Amino acid sequence: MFIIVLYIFFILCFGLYKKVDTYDAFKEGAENSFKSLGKLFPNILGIIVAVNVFLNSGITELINQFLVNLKIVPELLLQCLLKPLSWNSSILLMNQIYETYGPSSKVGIAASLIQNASDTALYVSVLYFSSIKMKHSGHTLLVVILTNFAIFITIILLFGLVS
Amino acid sequence: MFLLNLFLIKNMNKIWNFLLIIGIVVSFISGSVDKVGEVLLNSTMEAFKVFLKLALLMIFWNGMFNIAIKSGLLNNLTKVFEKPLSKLFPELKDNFLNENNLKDNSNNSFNKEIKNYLCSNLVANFLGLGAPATLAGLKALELLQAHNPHPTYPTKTMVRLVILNICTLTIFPTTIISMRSLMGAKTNFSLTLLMIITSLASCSLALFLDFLINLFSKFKKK
Repeated sequence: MFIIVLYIFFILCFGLYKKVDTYDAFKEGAENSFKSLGKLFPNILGIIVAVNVFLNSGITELINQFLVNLKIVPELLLQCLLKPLSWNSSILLMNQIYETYGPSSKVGIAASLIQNASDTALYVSVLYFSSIKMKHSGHTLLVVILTNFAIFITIILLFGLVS
Repeated sequence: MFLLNLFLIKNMNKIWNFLLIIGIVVSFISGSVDKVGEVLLNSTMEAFKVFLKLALLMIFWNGMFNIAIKSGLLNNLTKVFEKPLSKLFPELKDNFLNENNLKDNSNNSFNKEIKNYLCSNLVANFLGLGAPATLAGLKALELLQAHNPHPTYPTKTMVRLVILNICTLTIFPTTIISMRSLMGAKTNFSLTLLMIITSLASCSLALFLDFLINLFSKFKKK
């Protein structure tokens, strides 16, 4: 909490120091982001339907029957797998974990850390490389996906979420 | 790699189908059809609740960030961090000049411009300013592409730029702290520190892997 308040205070003070009309600037930024929200809702709706059906279908019980040793929370596993593919779905799963397990539980904290570890690999690399019409992406995805999974596995092991 | 890219993009449709169809088929087997039907229809309300949360947060933070952009906070911080950050891109100093057959003078100024965009991209990422980070990053990439000796293949610098934009070092994890607070949970200082450490670890691991791969390809060429 402290860091957020400090950050906002810092931005405001710097704005005042540079004699910016802070309220007008705030309104302008808020208005601009308001316009792009229309695209967000269909995305969230589509992903939440698919994820909910998948998680509630009893597949987790089936998986647990076959892999008794792997007692990882299914939402967390799905969050790790979808993290490099889509920002919306991983943040939705984080939200679901918060609701079912609580944000301050072990799983909740692990989900926060996983969400914070990196940006969406696929989206960013496509955005950047397609902007210059580049057809190859070098070793970008290899490095990024390896890093992602190394970090996720470390977090899950550190929190003792696999028994 | 491009094929992998394309494969995954076209496959957001397939991922959606996969999740839904596997879910429904399994629910027939395990006998939880009623539960799935209920979940399907209740998802709209849940989606709206999440959307409301995210949307309001985004509006608020974009408003705040606009003050930071308007006041030139980004430019000032970029100047401060320019020297340490340009060490991440050593090619821009020497090799870069030799790669191109342009006159030295113009190249120097281009190098400076690229460095400036690169640094402001990285600094904006530190602060969590998404939109200005992307703008600066795209400009830097465009300039790098103009100097690319093999335009069909990305240079080391371009790859590193994109990697740094994915495995970003975030000092102010604003979205997640706000989400947690909406759920009624406090984020104490140690958790914030943990978040910063995680993103630092992810960033340095990615850079290290990038370094290793570059070293490896150098040996291969020899």
